[in-house]
Amino acid sequence: MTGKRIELPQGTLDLLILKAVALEPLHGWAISERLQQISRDVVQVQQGSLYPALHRLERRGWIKSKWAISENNRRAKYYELTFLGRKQLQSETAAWRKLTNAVDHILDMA
Amino acid sequence: MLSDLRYRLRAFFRLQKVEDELQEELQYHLEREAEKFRKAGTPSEEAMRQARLALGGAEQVQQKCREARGTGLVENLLQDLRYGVRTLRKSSGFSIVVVLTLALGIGACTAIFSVVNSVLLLPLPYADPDRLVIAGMDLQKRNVRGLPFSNADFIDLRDGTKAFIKDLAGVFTGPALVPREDGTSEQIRWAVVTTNFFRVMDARIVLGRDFTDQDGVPQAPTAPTDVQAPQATPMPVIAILSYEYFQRRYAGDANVLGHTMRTTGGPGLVIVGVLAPRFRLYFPSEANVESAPDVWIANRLGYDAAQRKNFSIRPVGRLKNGVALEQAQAAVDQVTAEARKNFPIAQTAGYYFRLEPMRQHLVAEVRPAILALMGSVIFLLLIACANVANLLLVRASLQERELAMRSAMGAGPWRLVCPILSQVFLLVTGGILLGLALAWAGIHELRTLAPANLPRLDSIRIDAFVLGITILVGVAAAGIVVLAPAWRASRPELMNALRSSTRTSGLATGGRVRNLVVVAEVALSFTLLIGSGLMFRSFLQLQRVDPGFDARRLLTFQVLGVPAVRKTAEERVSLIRQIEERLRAIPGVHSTTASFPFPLTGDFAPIRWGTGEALSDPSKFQATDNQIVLPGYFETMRTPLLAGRTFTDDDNLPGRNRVIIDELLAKKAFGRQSAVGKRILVRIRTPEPEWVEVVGVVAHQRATSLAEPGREQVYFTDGFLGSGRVRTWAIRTGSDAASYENQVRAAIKEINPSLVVTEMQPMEAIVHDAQANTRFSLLLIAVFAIIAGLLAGVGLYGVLSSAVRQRTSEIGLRMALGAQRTSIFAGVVGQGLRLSALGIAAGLIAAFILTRAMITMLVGVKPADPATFISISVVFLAISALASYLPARRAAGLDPMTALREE
Repeated sequence: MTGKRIELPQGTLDLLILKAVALEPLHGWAISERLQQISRDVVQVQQGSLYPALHRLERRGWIKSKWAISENNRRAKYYELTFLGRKQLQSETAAWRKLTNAVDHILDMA
Repeated sequence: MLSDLRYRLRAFFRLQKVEDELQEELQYHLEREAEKFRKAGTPSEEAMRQARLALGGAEQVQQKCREARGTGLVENLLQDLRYGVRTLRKSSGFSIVVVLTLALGIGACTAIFSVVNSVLLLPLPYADPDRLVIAGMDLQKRNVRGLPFSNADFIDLRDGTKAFIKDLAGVFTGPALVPREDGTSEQIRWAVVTTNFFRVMDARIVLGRDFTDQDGVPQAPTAPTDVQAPQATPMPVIAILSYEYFQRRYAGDANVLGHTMRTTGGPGLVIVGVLAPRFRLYFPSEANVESAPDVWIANRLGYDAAQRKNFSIRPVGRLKNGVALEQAQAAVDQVTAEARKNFPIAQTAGYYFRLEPMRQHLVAEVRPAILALMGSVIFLLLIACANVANLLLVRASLQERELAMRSAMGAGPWRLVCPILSQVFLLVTGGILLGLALAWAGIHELRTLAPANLPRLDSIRIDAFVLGITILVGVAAAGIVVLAPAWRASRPELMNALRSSTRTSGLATGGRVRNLVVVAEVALSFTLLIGSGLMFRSFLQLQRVDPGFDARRLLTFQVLGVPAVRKTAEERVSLIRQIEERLRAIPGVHSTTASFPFPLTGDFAPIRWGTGEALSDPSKFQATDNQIVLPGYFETMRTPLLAGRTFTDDDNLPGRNRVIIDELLAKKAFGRQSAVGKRILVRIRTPEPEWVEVVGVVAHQRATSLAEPGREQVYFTDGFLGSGRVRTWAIRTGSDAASYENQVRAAIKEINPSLVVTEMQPMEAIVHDAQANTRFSLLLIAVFAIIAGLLAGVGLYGVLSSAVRQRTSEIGLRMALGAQRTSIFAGVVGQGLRLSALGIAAGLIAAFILTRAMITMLVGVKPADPATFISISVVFLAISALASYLPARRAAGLDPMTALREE
């Protein structure tokens, strides 16, 4: 299983987190699970790097956090996208698409 | 950006809560993760282990989160501060010395700066005070400066400067006795002002009305207006009360408006208004203007050219907007040029009007002293900083290996300097706080010590501005202090420091910087010591000055009300005789006399005099001060008689035109010839000069200032001027002068209850006051210089002892090889003396340049006084020898074996 996994390119973790919390507010563990699911176990997200990233994003004002009761009836810290975060998600998504297209293009030409 | 700030602030100020939340968040994650594993069938404990493994080290994650929060810098700082507190506490002796040194420097700076602030910087409490100007009259050829104006001069000045000065007002003040409702008298201070005065000064009238032009319409010219008390006039005299007097005498009763306040021998004052509280006149002490008059009287100012020599008015004007002082002065110069053309006497006197900004006029007298003090404390602060910098350098050298180690382990220059910065921050904060406390106490002392001519003494305090400057000074001090050690710490010579084995080896590297700092320190404190040496010499000179009288056991006081009590000259003569006899009857009183003006009490009265040749050539007239005395004056004052005789009772009779002159006037008038029996022309009671006969020549008395000889004197008898002009009495007693005060008061009261005794003080107190300026400057500069000298000595000691410590093994080796202890001793002392000689050389140059600024403060000493320069150099070499002695003795006392083993 581990053999199939690839390391997450630098800087894409933020984008994935933003995408993950774009639909609904999630707590840290749920984000980690969601990332594993949507990447169909291909992308390896270091759980240890998730939390610093969350704090960094919160500091930038792209996500905000609040404490709420979780599905298993415990207090958990939920993160949700802010207005700024939504903008950021759009522009980063666009940038990512552009980059991958360009890379695809180069690879095809070669 | 805002969210960033908010986030950081929250992270900073609620650090504990943020940390707790992070903990909880990670805990939640671990539990959910473990739960996931458990559901997949992993045993409970193994599940938790797996969860932890997946997350990574909790501590690392937390640390990364902290970094992500961006509060790392602040946390590092806090850590450094905590480290700083720990380090400083460990070496409390060092910390106390440093904080005390800085506190002395900063405290002295703050105290003196608060004086600079309130005396030189704070605007005068009038509207737009920078446009207010004062005019003074100089008689340049007669060595008289800053005279008040005659009515005619004032009006000429006002009319001639209308284009530049919006409005010119005039004021003069004095004391007077007024009868109270209950029959007793009280002494008040009055001011006679032009009716526009309050408008020019923008003073507020809180009750009633301001003066109108009508209040100032001149009366028909009659006898000269007496400066002593407003004279009877057919027109009403309009007055405005000060708020304080209105409260004191009339208890704030508004019915007083329109009421006539009785005066002695006049029509009384019609009160029309009350001035706002705390209105003050700010004039230098030499102008003799009361600062808080009780009653303000409208001047019925008339143009009387014959009275051009009756100087009384101090003009205050407000420059028009956009007019420079120079423009106004040019207009003034035209007025005086006109006057010099019209009046030959003005020509010969060197008649000149000088405009001066009001504040400059106020502080001109004290400015040099205050600036010299400010310079001294800046020097003191620099010396304190140099000392602290050196102490830090020595410490930093001792920590060199530790720094090198940290550097080797990858700490950046910033992380190396930070601990030093935080220590300095703590030390300087301590220095500022303690310094403020010192300054607060010092200002209290300053107020009691300060000479009376220091204006606005009561406003000296630590206000927000002074506080701000203090903090700035502290920051600057921190900058100076930290410069050298931080520079050295940021770039430790890694390999050297690590390679060398002794912990003192680092001392070698900082040596040159420390030497330089110590030389600078010596130079600064040497300069200060020179300054204090000059002040000390001045003070000695002042003590040694022969004032021309014997101040010991002499009691002086004013008796007011003689002219009011007795109307005719004969009555006044008999009243004065009565006072003399009654005073002389007091047991222990040897003799008694009276005079006006009286030496060193602030008054002086210049008159015109000349010899016979002035009759044909009026330009030969000159100015001299005059004094009106009772017979017995010179005997009571013990002024030496040089030729002829002193006054007798016969000289005091009307029609006896006899005068006594002092040695200066005698020399000027007659050169080497005897003055006795000769005649001079004087203008004092007649419009034109008259002949008087010189019957005696006495030694010169210092009447206007102890520091300077002053002008020549001519003495008239009271009878010559119609009797009753003398005001200040003096009694020569057999014991302590002050012990006669009650008897004198009782005696005067017994003669006539409406006579008022005031300003009673021993002559020695007057002399003491006359020395106050010099004493004040001397005291402060000397204190600063002594502290500076001590600091420099300690600094030198510190450098030498660390040098000795550093060279211990070298010294041991030399001794083992047969070097004499004396030569080791001489070597260390020699190093100390070399350093201080360098400092002294630099200090000599600095002192030579800087002491010139002190010239107005010095008495009988030149700024480059060789005796002072030489003796201070010797004193300083002695200090440095002493500072070198202890380390030198330690070096010479080393046991070679132990010293070698130090390696």
